[in-house]
Amino acid sequence: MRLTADTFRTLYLEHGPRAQGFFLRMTGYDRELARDLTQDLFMRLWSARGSYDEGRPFSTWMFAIAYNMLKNEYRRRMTVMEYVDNADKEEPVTETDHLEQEQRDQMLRSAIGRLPEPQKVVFLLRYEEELPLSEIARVCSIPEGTVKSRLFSALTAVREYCKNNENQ
Amino acid sequence: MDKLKELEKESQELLTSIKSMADKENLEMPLPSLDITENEPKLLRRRIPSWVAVAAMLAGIVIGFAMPKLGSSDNGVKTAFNYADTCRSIAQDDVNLSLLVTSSSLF
Repeated sequence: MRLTADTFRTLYLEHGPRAQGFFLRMTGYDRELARDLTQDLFMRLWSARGSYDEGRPFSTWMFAIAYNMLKNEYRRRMTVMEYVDNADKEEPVTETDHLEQEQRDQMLRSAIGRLPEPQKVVFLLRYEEELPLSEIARVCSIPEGTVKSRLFSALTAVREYCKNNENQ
Repeated sequence: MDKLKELEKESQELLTSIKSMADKENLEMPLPSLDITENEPKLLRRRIPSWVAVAAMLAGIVIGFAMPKLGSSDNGVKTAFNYADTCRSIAQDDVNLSLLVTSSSLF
């Protein structure tokens, strides 16, 4: 598949929301930053389309570059982005029907947000983006065994957090 | 690995909630606009072989020198150079410059 402008626009519509959601959660719900990073990511992908390996899924290529951008962003800020702080600034839900669901979502956001960055990225790529373990290993440039151990630790921590906070 | 698979099985409900929350968030947030064009600037500037530019310039000088009859000889030389410059500009796809030279030669 040659990446023409039309093909790329289709890929943007298909994968853009996933990339933006990934940035959103990785940056601690900083919407402006997530939007900027998404735009920047797709401009970079378009510029680097010559290096796209057609034999591999587009999402692997996309997330690999996205993760590198995030690492640079972390370095630039010299601080770990706090997920929970911004998550708390989300607009309050007024409808009573959605309140319970929203509280549960908030708890999940906090649970994932508390994960260390190396665990969080594999957790999001596996359970939200549903990438295979081998592709996550490629995106993060780590062995598959490390992906599994990080996933195990992350999932244990999220379960633990939810268990402790479910009845509060 | 087995331990991870077991844990995933036990956490199925939790993982489903996480996935659906993420899907919902992805859909709720509008995508930023993206201006992608097939042609990049370097592709827009189509290069013409240098011999075409030289030939166009020579033709411009020849035609320009044939024009003095229309005005004074000074004007003829000026027109010749302006015309040659216009030809060169067109040959190099520099439309703005060619328009500038053409319009300046008219006044």
